[in-house]
Amino acid sequence: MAYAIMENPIQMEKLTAVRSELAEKEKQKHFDTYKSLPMPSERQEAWRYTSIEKLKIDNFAPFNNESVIECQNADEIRQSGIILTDINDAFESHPDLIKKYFSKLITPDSNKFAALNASHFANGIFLYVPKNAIAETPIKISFLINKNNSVIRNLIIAESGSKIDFIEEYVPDSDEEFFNSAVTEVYANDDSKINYNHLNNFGGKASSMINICGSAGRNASINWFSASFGGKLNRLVIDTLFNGEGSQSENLGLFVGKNREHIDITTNAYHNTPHTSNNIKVDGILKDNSSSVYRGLIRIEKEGQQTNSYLSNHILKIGEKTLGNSIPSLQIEANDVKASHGATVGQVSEEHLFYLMARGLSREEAENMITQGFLEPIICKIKFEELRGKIRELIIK
Amino acid sequence: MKQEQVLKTEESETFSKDYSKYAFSDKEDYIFKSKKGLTKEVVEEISKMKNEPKWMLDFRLQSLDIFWKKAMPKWGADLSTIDFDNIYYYIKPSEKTEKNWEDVPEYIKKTFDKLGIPEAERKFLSGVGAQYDSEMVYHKIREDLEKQGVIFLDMDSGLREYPELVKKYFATVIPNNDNKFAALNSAVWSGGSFIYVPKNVKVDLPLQAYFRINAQNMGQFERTLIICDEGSSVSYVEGCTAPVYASDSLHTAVVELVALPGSKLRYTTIQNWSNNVYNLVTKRAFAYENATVEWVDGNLGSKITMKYPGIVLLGEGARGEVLSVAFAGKGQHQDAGAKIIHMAPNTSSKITSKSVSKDGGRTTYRGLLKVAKGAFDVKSSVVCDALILDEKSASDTAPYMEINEKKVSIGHEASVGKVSEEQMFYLMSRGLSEEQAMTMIVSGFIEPFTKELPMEYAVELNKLIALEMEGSVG
Repeated sequence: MAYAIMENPIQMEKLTAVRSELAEKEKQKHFDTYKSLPMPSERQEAWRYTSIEKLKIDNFAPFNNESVIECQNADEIRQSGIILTDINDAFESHPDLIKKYFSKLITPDSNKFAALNASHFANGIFLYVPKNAIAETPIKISFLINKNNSVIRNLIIAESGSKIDFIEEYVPDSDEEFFNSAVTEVYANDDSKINYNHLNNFGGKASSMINICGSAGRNASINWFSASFGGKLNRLVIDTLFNGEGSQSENLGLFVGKNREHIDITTNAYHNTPHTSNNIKVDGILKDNSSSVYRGLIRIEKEGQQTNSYLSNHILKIGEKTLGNSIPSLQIEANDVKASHGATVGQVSEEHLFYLMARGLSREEAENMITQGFLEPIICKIKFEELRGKIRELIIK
Repeated sequence: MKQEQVLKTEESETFSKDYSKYAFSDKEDYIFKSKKGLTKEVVEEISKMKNEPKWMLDFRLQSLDIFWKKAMPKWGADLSTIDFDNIYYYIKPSEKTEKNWEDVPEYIKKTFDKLGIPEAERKFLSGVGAQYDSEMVYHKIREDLEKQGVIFLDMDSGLREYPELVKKYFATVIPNNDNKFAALNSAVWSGGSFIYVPKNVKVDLPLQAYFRINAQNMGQFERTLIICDEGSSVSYVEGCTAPVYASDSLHTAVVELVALPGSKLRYTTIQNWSNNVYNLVTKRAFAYENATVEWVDGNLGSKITMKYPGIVLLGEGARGEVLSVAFAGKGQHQDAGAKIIHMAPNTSSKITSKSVSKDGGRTTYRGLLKVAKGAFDVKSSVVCDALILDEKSASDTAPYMEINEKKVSIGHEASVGKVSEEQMFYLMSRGLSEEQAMTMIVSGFIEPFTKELPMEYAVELNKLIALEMEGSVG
């Protein structure tokens, strides 16, 4: 089940968590915040379509379990000067960087789950790409979540002029019910380029909340790709902050829900500086009795003049009893901008089915073909062949 | 040629206006004016003055409790500045609703004369109602329609003369616990129109009501109920204005539409309140089998507008359409939108929203599109476009889509932008001034809306837009 993308684990390295007093201190600081914040309720806008009443997070406590984090090519990427280490380790070895970047994008007091993560993280990666460093091969990380739950905290810093490809996957190590919380902060400093690929494939019993936030500096670019499969509750938030003039981002996402799975995807773009550009496209397929909620906000501040920002969301319904919610929104404070969004919800058209069936395909085959074709415009933009193949496989399954 | 000239002068006479046409106010010379503030006594007094049946008084008092219990909405525009204690909840300008224009008190008649109401009635309407503060002062319908059984009354007379009909439908579309402001209206409502169109009767020309707030710190709470019986059709138009005062007024209406099978109902609003009016209105329609309901909603004035006309498509084959335009100038927030709920199969809907913000104004489109389980073969499309004319202004779009059925086809599109330099250049190179070019582009932008209005309204709206645009460039 694991090593989905890592077909050839030659140099697989396990990042072992190091005990760090400083990291413990950081966690202690937020413990009271976690205790005092209430669980979000459905009355809150962000949780309106995702019920967490049945999710008793205390049942999963004490959250001190280390997840297994593996990197296939750690040695190779370190050769280009990149630092890859456990997050606790970084508290000891790079306190200045931690002080500058840790918890700055996703603040612990913003909600219960952010506080949970800040106060309980067990391990995670710290990835530091020095100035002008270019990683020749993609950095591949897999997070193996086992039944003892996980609280993962990652920090990625790309210094100016650097360039990396990053691939991460979250895979369960067991079929049992578990809870996963992950927070990843990504800094693309001036003129850097990050190509960030995220894949998760939770079984039908897992509840996961992954929150990724990237800040793009002057002329920096962050390109996101995400694929979400399964999960009793699979909540993925990817926010992009355009904090430098000329920064840009593309955010492509896809999801497939089946059985009684609930998928909750949010992709927001916050334009804080002029001349930024953004393109978000998230498409999903709902099978069986699955449900989904997609939210996407484009916010352009007064300072964000000459910005172009687009968002689209398409949902294809295969299952009879599926439930799809889509809430794209715009908040525009500047006038010299172009911003738009589009959303559609539809079914497999009978005409398309007929066309294919007239050519000898069975109804099921035809439906599968259309389903795959629906997500293909996004899949074909993935940079890595192995990831493309893996995702195509998961869609049919 | 000569005819053309005559037409032109006529037009400019009728429509050469600035807001000062609406901005005058009359001396307050009322028959009754309630105490400021909202108490149980005020509600009882209103009911007593209207000689209402007991069920209505009970309904009012229950609604008042709901109003007090419900919290202010935490979303949308900023309503924190409303002072509920500084408002007159009931002001009675005249003894009764007149059918003869001559019998309307002189000073009120003058007001509506200035607004061009009697003239409009002669020209292009089937019936007219005029509300002055809390009460309808005039209500008149063409005789032939009256003979066919069309009822067009003010809500209070409706309740007196057709108690059974009113009781059957009143507050069924919008219950008093729907939201805080619907509860407020339910407690202190006064005036508004009551329309019933019998089976298969088609009213060819629109019925119109004009709402005028005159008194300072006034709360106008009209209540409109329109019932279109099977196979009938009607179009209703409302216009609203108020004088400019230093302190704020409140307009909280509830409008309920019932479109029975096969009927067709169109409701057009041109809201041009002065910039000191909070306009917080609940509007909803039920559309049964093969019925069509259309809201045509223009929001130009007011300080804050929060209004989301809704259509619940209850019967197979029903169709709903909302067409709205919002124009937010200095200090204005137009938080408007639409709600469409598909409850039955083979229903279709369309929402078109156009908004323009300038001089620091803010427009918001807030919408809900819901397809309930079992409502298959539903088609719906939503388009909202916003223009932001200068850097001080802003625009938001917040559409919600909840789709619980598989066999559907739903599309939503929204865009925000500015007037393109190219378009401006094109027009200006043909001799238009910057202001003229801008006005022309804005008029063109809202064209899908204006072309749905009765001719006279379309002309007036374009004049109002031109007025709003004055001094917007350079």
